[in-house]
Amino acid sequence: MAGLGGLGTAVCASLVRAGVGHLILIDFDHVEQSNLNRQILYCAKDVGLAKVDAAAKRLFEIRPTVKLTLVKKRIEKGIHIHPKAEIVADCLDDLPSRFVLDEMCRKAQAVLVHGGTEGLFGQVTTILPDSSVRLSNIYKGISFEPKIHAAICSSCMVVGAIQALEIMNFILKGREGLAFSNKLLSIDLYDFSMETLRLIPPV
Amino acid sequence: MAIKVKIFGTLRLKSGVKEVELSAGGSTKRLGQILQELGQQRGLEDLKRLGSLNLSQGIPFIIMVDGKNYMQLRGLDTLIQDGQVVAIFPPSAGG
Repeated sequence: MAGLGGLGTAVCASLVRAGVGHLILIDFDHVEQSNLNRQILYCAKDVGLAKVDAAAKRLFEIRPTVKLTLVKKRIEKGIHIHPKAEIVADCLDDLPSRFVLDEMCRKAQAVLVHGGTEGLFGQVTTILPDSSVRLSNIYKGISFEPKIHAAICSSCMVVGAIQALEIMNFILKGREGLAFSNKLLSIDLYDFSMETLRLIPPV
Repeated sequence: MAIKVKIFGTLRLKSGVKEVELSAGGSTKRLGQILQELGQQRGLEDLKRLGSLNLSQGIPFIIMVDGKNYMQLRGLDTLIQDGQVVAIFPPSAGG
């Protein structure tokens, strides 16, 4: 689990309740008051705690037998994916660190399930380690202006739930079960529509 | 058959539509021209001024032509003909 914000907490809650045995949680940040509107594993009394510790505390309350590995680090060049990780949820909140994570997954031969949200919109795609469709290809040409994203709890829960289901697809059926490899799911929660765009690998 | 331009994400709020059809008139049109036409038609300032932007610094949208990022083609000079699908969306990068 890369990032324990609005998406990451929703994905964790779904996977732990579904019975997933071992999760590796990565986040460098601490719980803030402003997180409580959408980050569903945290409560007011958690403000100030490291997110990995606050999330672990809640996940153990949900299911004491879950195995959790906690990593208090920022995703940046030079850090490595845990060698046991077969699938990674990208729940980060900025593009540069998402690209770093994508490259780490390629090197570690791990599947990446990318999710993002903005207001009542969202997107999900799955990147296979040997695919030439990388996040950096999909986002090629995008500007990196720093931006505060409007994040809404309901949107995070919808996008996070879809990411969790895609991870369950992988756990139950392997790569053949993945719904969004070479596809980008676009979610519109104004009119509750979803559309899948096919992604063509670069030559 | 026309060129189909699909609009996603928060750009739908600004444009008021999810899809627009434009014609290449039986020939081809530059991608940049199509996007500027869309900008004029739907009052999208970012698209209207696309021609004057420095693309090397990036733009706030992902643009795809039949599932390929436009930067992997010929950028805004990519030629589009009737029947092709252009998708444009600002990324939902928050988490």
